[in-house]
Parts: sequence; C-alpha cells; structure tokens
Amino acid sequence: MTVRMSDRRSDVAGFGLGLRPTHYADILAGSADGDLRVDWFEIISENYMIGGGKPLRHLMDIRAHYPMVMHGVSLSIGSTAPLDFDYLKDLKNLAARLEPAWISDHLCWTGIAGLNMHDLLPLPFTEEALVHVAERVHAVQAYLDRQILLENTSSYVTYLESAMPEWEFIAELSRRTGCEMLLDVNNVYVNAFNHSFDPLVFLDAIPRDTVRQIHLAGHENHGSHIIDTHDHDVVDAVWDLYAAAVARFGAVATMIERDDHIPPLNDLILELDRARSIQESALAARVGLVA
Amino acid sequence: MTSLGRTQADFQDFLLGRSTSIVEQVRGNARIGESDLLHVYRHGYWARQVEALANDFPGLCGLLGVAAFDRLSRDYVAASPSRHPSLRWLGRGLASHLDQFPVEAQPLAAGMARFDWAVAQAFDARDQIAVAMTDILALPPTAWESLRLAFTEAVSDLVADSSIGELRRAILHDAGEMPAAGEIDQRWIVWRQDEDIQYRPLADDEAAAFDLIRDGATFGSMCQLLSDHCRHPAAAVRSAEILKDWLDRGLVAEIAHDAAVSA
Repeated sequence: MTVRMSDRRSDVAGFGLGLRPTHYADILAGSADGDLRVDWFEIISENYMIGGGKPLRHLMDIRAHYPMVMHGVSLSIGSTAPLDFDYLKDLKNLAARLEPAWISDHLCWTGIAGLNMHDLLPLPFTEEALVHVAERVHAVQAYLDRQILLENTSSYVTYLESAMPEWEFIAELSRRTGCEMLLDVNNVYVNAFNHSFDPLVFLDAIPRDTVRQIHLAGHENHGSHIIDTHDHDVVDAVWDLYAAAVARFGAVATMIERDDHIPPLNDLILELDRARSIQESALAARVGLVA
Repeated sequence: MTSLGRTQADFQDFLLGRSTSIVEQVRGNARIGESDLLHVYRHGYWARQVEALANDFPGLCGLLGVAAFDRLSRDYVAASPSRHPSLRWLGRGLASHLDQFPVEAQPLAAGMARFDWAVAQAFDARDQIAVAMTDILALPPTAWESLRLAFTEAVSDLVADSSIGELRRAILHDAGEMPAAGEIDQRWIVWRQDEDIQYRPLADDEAAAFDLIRDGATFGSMCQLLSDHCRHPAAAVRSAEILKDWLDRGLVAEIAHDAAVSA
C-alpha cells in the first residue's frame, strides 16, 4: 500500500471519526486491508502534545494512511487570563509534525488565575466578550499562521448579562476575525433544548461559507435539561437537524465524536454510514432531485 | 478586573466550592433552576479530575478501593488544582500529597503512587535512541575514567515497598490474592525499553551508583564509590557489570568523556 502524508485542506472531506486509542489496532488493520469506510480522523490535540512513546507512534502510523485535523480543548480562547504561548508553541509543533488540514478548538473558556478546569465553560454573549475573544483569535491565528476553527459548545445556564443570542455572537466573531466554524449539530440541539430556542433559527443565522466541519455526537437527556456526554449514539432529532444543516451548508466534512462507552470501530462506522446517507439525501433534495 | 473577568472568577470559584456568587448572574430554564444546572458543571469538574487520576494511578486506586481513592483525589485536587493544559500532569504531586497527608494504607500507598507516576512518565516520555554496548566498546581505553552517562527521560527511580511490582501486577490483573508487604524502603527503577514499560528493584550498590551517575559523576567515580563506600571486593568488575546491564536495558541516552580522540 502506498503511504503518503497529506496536508491539503481539500483532502479532509467526507466522513471522519475521532481517533481513540481503543481503535488503533482496528484502524491500522483496516488500513492494511484498504476497506475502512472512514475518510479522515480528528485527534484531541492535547493527547499528543507529549514526548513520545506508543501514542505518538500510533498517531503517525495512522496519519500515514489518513488525512487528519486537530481539535483542542485547552486553548481557552474566551478566558481573561493571558494567552498561554507555551501551550500554543506545543500546539504549533504538533501541527508541524502532523500537517493537519486545520486546527480547531472551542468557543469557551477553561480557567483563569493559572488554573485549568478542563471543562468547556460558557461565555456571556456580550459586546465586551466579543471584543475580547476577537482580539485573542487574531493573536492565535497570527501565531499559528493559519485560520482556526471554533466550535459552538453546549451550555446549561444563560448569563443574565448576555445581550445577543449565541448564533449572533458566533456569526459576528467569524466576520471580525475570519475564523471558521466547527458546527457541532448536537450542541445546537442541546442548547436549543436547554435554552428554549428553535435550532433552525441558529442554523439560519450562521453564514453559509463559515462552516468548515460538522460534529455529531450523542447526549444524555434528563428531561429538565440535556448534558452533552458523547457517550451514546446520535439521536434521531439530531440526525434531523444534521439534514437541515446539510441543506444549508452543503457537503461539509462531518464526523462522529465518541468519548465514553466507546463502541467497537465497526459500530461507529455503521453510524457514520447513516451520516453519509442523510447527507446524500439532503444534498439531493437541495438540488431538487428528490420528488 | 473587567466584567468578563469578574464573571469568570465567580464561575470558577463556584466550581471549586469557594463561592456561590455566580448563581445570581445566570438563569436556568422553565424546567430546572440555575443552581441545579450550575451543579452539573461542578459535578463534571470533580468527576473529570478523579477520572483522570484513576487512569494515571491504577495501582493506587486498586490498593485503596474506589471510595477511598475518590476521597483522596478530591482532597488532592482541592489542594493542588490543575495548572496545566493537559490533565496528563494533574497527578504529579499526588505522591508528595500522600507523604504529607497519609491515608490508611501508608506507607504502601505513597510508594504505589510513586510507582504509578513513574510508569505514566515512562509511557509517553520522549523517544531517544539508546546507547549500545558497541558504542562504549568503540571508545578509546583512556575514555573510561572520565565517561559520563545520561539516562533516557523515560527512566525514573523511586522508593517503595519491595513487593510493589508484584502487588501492582496483581491489582491490575485482578489476581485475587495479594502478595504480603515487604521491606518499605526498596529502591526501584522504572523505564521504557522500545515501547514496553519495565521495572526492577535496585541493589544497594547499584542504587548508589545510579545516584552518582545521574548527578553527573564519571564512571571512574562510580568504580571508586563501589570500592570505597560499598567495599566491593571487585569494584571494577561490578561497575562494568552494572554498566552493561544499563546499556542492555536501554537506559542510557548519551555518553561523553574527556579523553582526546585521535583522528
């Protein structure tokens, strides 16, 4: 089999999965057979910002066969703490090694005063926060010498001081900075439930050319609120919303995130097949091919 | 402090259990109040830290049991919250915390914490090409006296119970019967050879030699130490034996010496 490294953004298209250690062996075996129905992988950047050993070797072995993107959890773009340039240096070094199609993180903050809560904490949607985040996005993009993608996060409370809806904040941030969006369709659904808004209003407010990647994931519905757990299959309502997202944004690179109760690789590939099928139908409907 | 900064400070303080000011600044939804929803974040914060520590300290978690490990983890995180972008580093102070605040299974627990952490360190330490015996044999004879060695970054030494290796293996493989505790102050060495984690106890003379070499002393000094301090009857032979073992096991990353090398 020909082994190649790919660094072109256009190589990350179609349908991907989050790379998880429990699947390393199956992925490499499937790569050798050439019949793995996964087009690309997304890694959690921080898991590979390490010295060496098995994790990095497996990563590079898989990278030799698949395009990849990097997805971080500790950029803390919305924090009022100073940007962590040691972290950014490690991120840039990993990117130099991995040559990902793009680097993403979350529109959130993860800690202040030198602490890291290791959670994707919500921002108030205010002009003050928008100015602050935009300034930091500019700085990060300049340091990394590339556009970044920011993901809409799930949230459970609403700040009383928020002066605009989430979708307006995101659209305006993208307009001011040129950053692109990693649209997490599950998170839109979760927030629509938790904050009582129409998820289609969210999608309609995001400029069509802003969305570079889509996340799909499962969640835990507690009746009074939904928690974004990434430990279940994608639910039907999120699949429906995904179809609506495809209708609006087109054939955007799509992946399924699974972080807990991780099933065998083949189960996730079957779930990914459903995304393929939904995207195909939604695209066909968009161009009037479906009666 | 900016308004955003104050909001974030209040939110973080809520997660850490230091303040409830943030409750007044948010709202929930028609089905559930803001306080309950904020506790979703607080619960998630603590659960995530405990889970990360359990992953990095499987021996200690098995030794103490889930409930006691949970209590220990929460005490530790309260005293030393994460300051690194990766949870990978959260546990670096756990063994010292146990030294300061002993639990029921001490001193076994602190030794197990040191052992678990050494394994975690070795697992993803920087890849380095190990020096081979042939590299040493290629040196001029005059180089041996001033020979200095640097261990790979995957190498750690620690003090723990003499049964710790066997005990940890039994816990991880759920072996049922646990080995009895042994001597409490055994020196151990943990490293990675190729991609496999290795460990073994150090004999007293080897431990003394290891400390000396790790601190930058020469092979000549090591021979002298084994001769004088350890009163080893065949110090040079024993030194060569120790050196060969370190090289065979892939512990040495660099060598240097002061001897002139002819062109």
